[in-house]
Amino acid sequence: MAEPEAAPRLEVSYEDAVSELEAIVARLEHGDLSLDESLKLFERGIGLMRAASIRLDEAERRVDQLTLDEAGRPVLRPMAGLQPEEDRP
Amino acid sequence: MVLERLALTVTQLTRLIKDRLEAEPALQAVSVAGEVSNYKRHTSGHIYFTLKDAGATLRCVFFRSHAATLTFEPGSGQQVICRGDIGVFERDGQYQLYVHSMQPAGLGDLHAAFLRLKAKLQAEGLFDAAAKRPLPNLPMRVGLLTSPTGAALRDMVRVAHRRYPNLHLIVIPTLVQGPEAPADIVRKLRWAAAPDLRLDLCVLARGGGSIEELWAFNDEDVARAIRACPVPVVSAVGHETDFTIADFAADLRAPTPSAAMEMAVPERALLDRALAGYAERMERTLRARLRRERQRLQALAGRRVLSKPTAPLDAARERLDRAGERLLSHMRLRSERGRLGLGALGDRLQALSPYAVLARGYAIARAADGTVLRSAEETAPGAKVEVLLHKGRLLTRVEQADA
Repeated sequence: MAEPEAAPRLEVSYEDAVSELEAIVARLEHGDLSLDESLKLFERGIGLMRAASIRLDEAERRVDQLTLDEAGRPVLRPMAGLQPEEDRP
Repeated sequence: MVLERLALTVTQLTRLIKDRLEAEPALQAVSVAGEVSNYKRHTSGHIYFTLKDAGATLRCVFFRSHAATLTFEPGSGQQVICRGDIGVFERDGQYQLYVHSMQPAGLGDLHAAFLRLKAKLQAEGLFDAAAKRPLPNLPMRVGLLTSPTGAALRDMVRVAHRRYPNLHLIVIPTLVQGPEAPADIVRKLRWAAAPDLRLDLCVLARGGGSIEELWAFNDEDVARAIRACPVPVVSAVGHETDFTIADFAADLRAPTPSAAMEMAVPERALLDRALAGYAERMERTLRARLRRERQRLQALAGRRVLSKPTAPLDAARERLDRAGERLLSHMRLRSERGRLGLGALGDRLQALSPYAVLARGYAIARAADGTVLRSAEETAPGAKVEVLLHKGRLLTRVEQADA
């Protein structure tokens, strides 16, 4: 059996990934492609799906407050009273 | 004690004042002009508000029986003429105007200033629909410009994290009322624009208040700072019925701070479901496609018109098998991702796959022409049989075939 090819890491934004994914699904469903073309698109689609999933997980749940440090530069500090742990009694 | 005997009770004194005021003809059936402020219509139907001008304020009560005659809906900031009687509300020691009727008297000064500024900026194109930027579909870092102690902030954090649990919120403490507020809003919008903050979106928010309390958002500099901000700005000021200049200048106006989060933050569960839907559709079409190709090959194999039937067929079959294997290997990858918590879809598909049984120790036997063997009668001693295992395949020759 063929080795599962390592899916290429795609550096695309979530929005680009999803719009390309939409186009790929539509083309696959239209069904006028050769088998090879279909498979290539499918692989690309799976890669995009993975990239989009990664984007969704990228952010970190937190609430920071922008304040000024001693030198007057803006810095981020966790905001007391609004941290996720504190949401849940 | 003489003093004690002479002293009036508070109630007695208040009565005295009440009687004097209500006996004064100049204070009965009197007309008074002023600007409406703190306008509140109680659920009982009574209306409470304050009339004011530059020098003084006057409490007013408009009971439901009289308020029913209103021909317009008064609002804070409006200049009106009220007719009524001055009386005393004993419990609070407050004199007030018991209103019988109310007429609009042109627009309040504040409102007129608001309309002038709105017209000016509109003429400049500051509110043009074309200038409005779309909000990002997936904001990851959202700036909240608001009072750090207000209920608005708490509401926004709650709604945002309910919709998108791993959202990074950055609070930029901002003065949202008082004479210093406009300059502070302008400054904080500039902070929000700092590139290393990497905000995808910012929300300028303040909870409800009187028209005076919301006045900082009717400021020309604030409107220009909103348009100049390189990050899209959502305004969420006051209640649903309050419109400010900031609302017109913003890329999107939300009726309330919580609504701003509903509008700007996507629901994570829906995004996950949409992605899973794409995968499902891709795999369904590809699976159908492979089935069709296989049927085509079988139909060709059944026709004896081809002079050298096996060579092209073998090539086609091999191509098809490879395609199937690639599909299968993708599904396996996806089920691994399912275990990583990215969705159970891969597992579900894997379970549906005819190849899934192989993992449980079953094997598929195929004749040399690729047809799956279901009975010993379909082969004979000496024939080649290909056995597909969970991992790899065996090429075997039949020693004995007992049907």
